[in-house]
Amino acid sequence: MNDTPELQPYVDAYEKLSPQRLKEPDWFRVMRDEAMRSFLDKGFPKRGDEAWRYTDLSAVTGARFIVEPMTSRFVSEGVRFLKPSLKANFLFFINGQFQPHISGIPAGVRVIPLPEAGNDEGFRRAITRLFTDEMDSLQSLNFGLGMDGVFIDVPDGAAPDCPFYVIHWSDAHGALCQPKILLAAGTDARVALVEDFRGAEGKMYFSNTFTGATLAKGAAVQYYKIQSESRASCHTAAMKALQEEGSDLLSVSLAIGGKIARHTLSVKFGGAGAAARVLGLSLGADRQVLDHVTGIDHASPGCKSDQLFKSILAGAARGVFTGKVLVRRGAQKTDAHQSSKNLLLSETAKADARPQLEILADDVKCAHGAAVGQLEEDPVFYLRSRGIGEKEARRILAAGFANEVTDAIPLESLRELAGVRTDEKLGEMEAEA
Amino acid sequence: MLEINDLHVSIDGKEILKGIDLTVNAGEVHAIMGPNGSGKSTLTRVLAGHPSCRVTGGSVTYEGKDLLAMSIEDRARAGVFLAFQYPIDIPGVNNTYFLRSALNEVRRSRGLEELDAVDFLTVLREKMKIVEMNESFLARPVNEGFSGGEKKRNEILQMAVLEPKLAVLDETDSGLDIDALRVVAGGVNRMRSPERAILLVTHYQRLLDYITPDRVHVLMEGKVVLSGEKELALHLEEKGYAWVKEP
Repeated sequence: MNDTPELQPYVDAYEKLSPQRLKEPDWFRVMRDEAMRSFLDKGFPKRGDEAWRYTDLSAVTGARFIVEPMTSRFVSEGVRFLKPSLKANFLFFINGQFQPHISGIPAGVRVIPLPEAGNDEGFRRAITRLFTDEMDSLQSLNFGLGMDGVFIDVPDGAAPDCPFYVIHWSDAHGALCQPKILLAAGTDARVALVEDFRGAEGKMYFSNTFTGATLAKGAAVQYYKIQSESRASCHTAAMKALQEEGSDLLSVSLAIGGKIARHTLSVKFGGAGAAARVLGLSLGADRQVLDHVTGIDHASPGCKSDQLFKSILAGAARGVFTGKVLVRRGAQKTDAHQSSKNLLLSETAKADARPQLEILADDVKCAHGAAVGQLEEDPVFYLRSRGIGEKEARRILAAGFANEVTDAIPLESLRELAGVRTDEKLGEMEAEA
Repeated sequence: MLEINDLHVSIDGKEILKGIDLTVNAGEVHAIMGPNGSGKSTLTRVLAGHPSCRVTGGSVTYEGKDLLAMSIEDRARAGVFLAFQYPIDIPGVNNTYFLRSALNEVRRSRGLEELDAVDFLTVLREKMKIVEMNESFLARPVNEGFSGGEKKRNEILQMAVLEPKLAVLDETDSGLDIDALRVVAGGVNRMRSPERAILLVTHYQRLLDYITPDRVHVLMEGKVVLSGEKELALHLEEKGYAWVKEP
């Protein structure tokens, strides 16, 4: 066990959880214990850890977060006003706790809050598959101490007519918010899940979230994440997808808020002919650190992965992309593509791209590329020569750069929402260019 | 409308224009011809305000104002338009959005009301007929994936939408097949008006088979060496530029 005093509050919190945990089935308790042990063994990531080379978590490790549930200054009813105007099944979390009384659950789909979900066979199957020893210490912390979450079970062949839209609202200073969202998409099911992270500006809290999706044969899942947390907060999120034969994943992550934010996406192809299109966009201002990490495990033959990660950075912001592609022995006819493009709007902004390819099969198509640069002057001149002012020309070009990611969202209402959020942030960044 | 006096321009420290004199009046179409490297493109770019062009001497007066003192966008808002020889790709920026932003900037500077998306589309559809352009271009990013001919048509479309007073066309005919050339030339002819001046920069006479200029100027080694009526272009076609050099 790692005997650092900074971990003591977590040990104490874990002990305090005991009465609540009596409701949990044995298998879940075993998993939780194991996760907690693993977290305490590893401790928080340190500056020297290669995987955290550019993202300094000392603000998190040095702070004392409150692990117990915290109330919100928002009456939970009020949180409904955070709903964007689009058609969706809205699910609400406040400071990491699920709000079932204001969440809408459609017929034909099972949405089970986490404590109860423990007794559900579908939940057990999904979570035990997602819980592996490859997890990093933050994911272990989520599994160890995170009590709240929902399990969304989309049966074989089902296709809910609108997306599940999870609003995570945080406004308690010092809160540790650790929700878990689990999505099980049955054979040939089609479903879209949105996670929208919002926070009260100025509040320093820590969101450490886990999202897992299991895609059965032929399932198609769209996953969208809009991270607009408080700019004083830390956000570390893990999204993990297990894909079976012929399944299809589209994942788009927008990183807008947070002081330090990392989104880790792992995809594992457990069946042939599966495909994942994975995109991310980081919009960094001020001294924000926005970090995307991907790991695509081509464990089966004939699968296709396509990754595009972009960042636009102003002020002294930092963008990081680490993209790992593993093509296992026997995963022939793999088609893996990865691209990282970064636009710096100021002299002091910085972007790092780290492609990591490990290819153990011989009949594969793998390509990757990374670019970091500033806006080119020729397009600026072109727009200005049409009467568009210089500032506006630069804004249009930056928005165009971002559009390549948001345009990949097939749901029109959501694409527009992503565009609005992107434009808002770019407007703020303009001042720092 | 446009008066260029003894204009000297350098690019990267090398003098390209070595004393240009040229006067263009409203309602006129002038053709500027000349061999490669004579400074034709530099002349068009300095009028639009390209940052690579450093003016080392002379003056350019546009509608009585010092054009060289104006910013790039102010020139455009005042009615100067450059059709690029190599139009720039703008990935991620929708063609319609771009055209509407440009038109509204120009309209605002002229004290006109901005057009909303619906009104603009009505204007745009009308203008698209001029260049025989398919509506599918409107939803695509500006110039991205366009063929050479499509890019040139898109330039003429922008010109038709912005309705400039002084249109400068930099080798708009280059790289066009005969059908595209006909369409582009037709678009230019439709733009001819007593209030508008057009400056056509071209390497070849063939564009002038479709657009009849009022004046033809020959540019060589950074200077206008010969000016004349439209027949001059035919003569050049026959004899080549070397003929001008002969004493």
